[in-house]
Amino acid sequence: MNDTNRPQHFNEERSKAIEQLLTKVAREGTPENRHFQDTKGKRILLSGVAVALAVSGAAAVLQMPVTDKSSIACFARAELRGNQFPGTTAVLGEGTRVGEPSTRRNPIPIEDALALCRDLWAQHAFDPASPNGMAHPSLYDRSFSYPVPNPLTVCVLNDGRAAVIPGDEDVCASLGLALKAD
Amino acid sequence: MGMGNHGKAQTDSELWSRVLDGDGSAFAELFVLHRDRVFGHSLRLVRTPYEAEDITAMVFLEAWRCRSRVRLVNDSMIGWLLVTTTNVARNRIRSNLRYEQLIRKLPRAETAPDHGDSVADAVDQDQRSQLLHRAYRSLGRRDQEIIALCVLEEMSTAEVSQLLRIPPGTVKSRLSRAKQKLAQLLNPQAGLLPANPLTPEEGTP
Repeated sequence: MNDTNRPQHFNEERSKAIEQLLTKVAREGTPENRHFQDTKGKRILLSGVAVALAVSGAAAVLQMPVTDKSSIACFARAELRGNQFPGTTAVLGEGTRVGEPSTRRNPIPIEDALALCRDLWAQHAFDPASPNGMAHPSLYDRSFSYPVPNPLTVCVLNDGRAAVIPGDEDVCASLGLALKAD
Repeated sequence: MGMGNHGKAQTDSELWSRVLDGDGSAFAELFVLHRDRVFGHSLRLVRTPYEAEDITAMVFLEAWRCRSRVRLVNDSMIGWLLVTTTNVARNRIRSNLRYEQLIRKLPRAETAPDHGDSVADAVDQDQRSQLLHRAYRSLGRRDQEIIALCVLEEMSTAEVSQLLRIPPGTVKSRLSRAKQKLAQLLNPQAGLLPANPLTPEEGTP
């Protein structure tokens, strides 16, 4: 099929930029490489409880760093009652399968909480309309094509863990949480 | 074939092996080697060169994400890349979400989609070419895939069979059906093959 009358060429500037991007993607330890780290070769383990527990409390500061990367809280909607929220706690475990003992004692640090929760949303793990925030497992989308809420914001729980919550930056303060510091 | 770090042309297998060892420059080399064919196939599936460039980048990012499943046929990665191109283009929303952070760092100046250019291009394009494009884009994923590999990229039946892990006979029958559907889309009233059929690759062993 002769597609077009006029040959189309790849823009050289963009090509160079993509070459640089791919170089960084394959290189261990770069931010671009870590972009894939949370989901590649590891399994995301969700907490077994229907309503996850958060160690929360009124945050005294507007912004805080994430100091505990052992697990993250993915909220299905912006709601926090005491230490309970609709959604799930996620940890990463190398090679662990569903049903196997959790690797909580030695979890893999989660560097990009936002990407991990986005992946869960894209798999239709959440249902904001359900009481516990979780979609029925039969609805899970293994093609990662379920719509992800936009925006999602990374807040920080009082114990230093990241919490990814649907909403803009104001959502953290509305729940008494700090916004993640860059 | 591109020149590797070792001063001689390297095969896709050798380059890919280096990529898996964390050699970023080998990944860039593979991109340069196959960029134009992936871009060319992307152009068949999306409307603008700008979108096709994004798709091309996403295909290589998918290669990294799915690196344990990348399949080389006859020491070439191009078949896997083309199949992935079809999938990425068809699942653009999902791919955009996954790679949004990385893709938005790519330069946009001077290459941002220009509505005027698109209109001018559309006007310039040959009507039959446009019709063919539209028909191709409206085919199902499997039909797009088999036509892209067998006809547009001129891969042999044996190579496509190995790539898709289906028997050669299935490649031929699937290609035949895809061509018929394309012909019907091009000429819905007649429901017959076009006067100038596409290259009859299915006739080869």
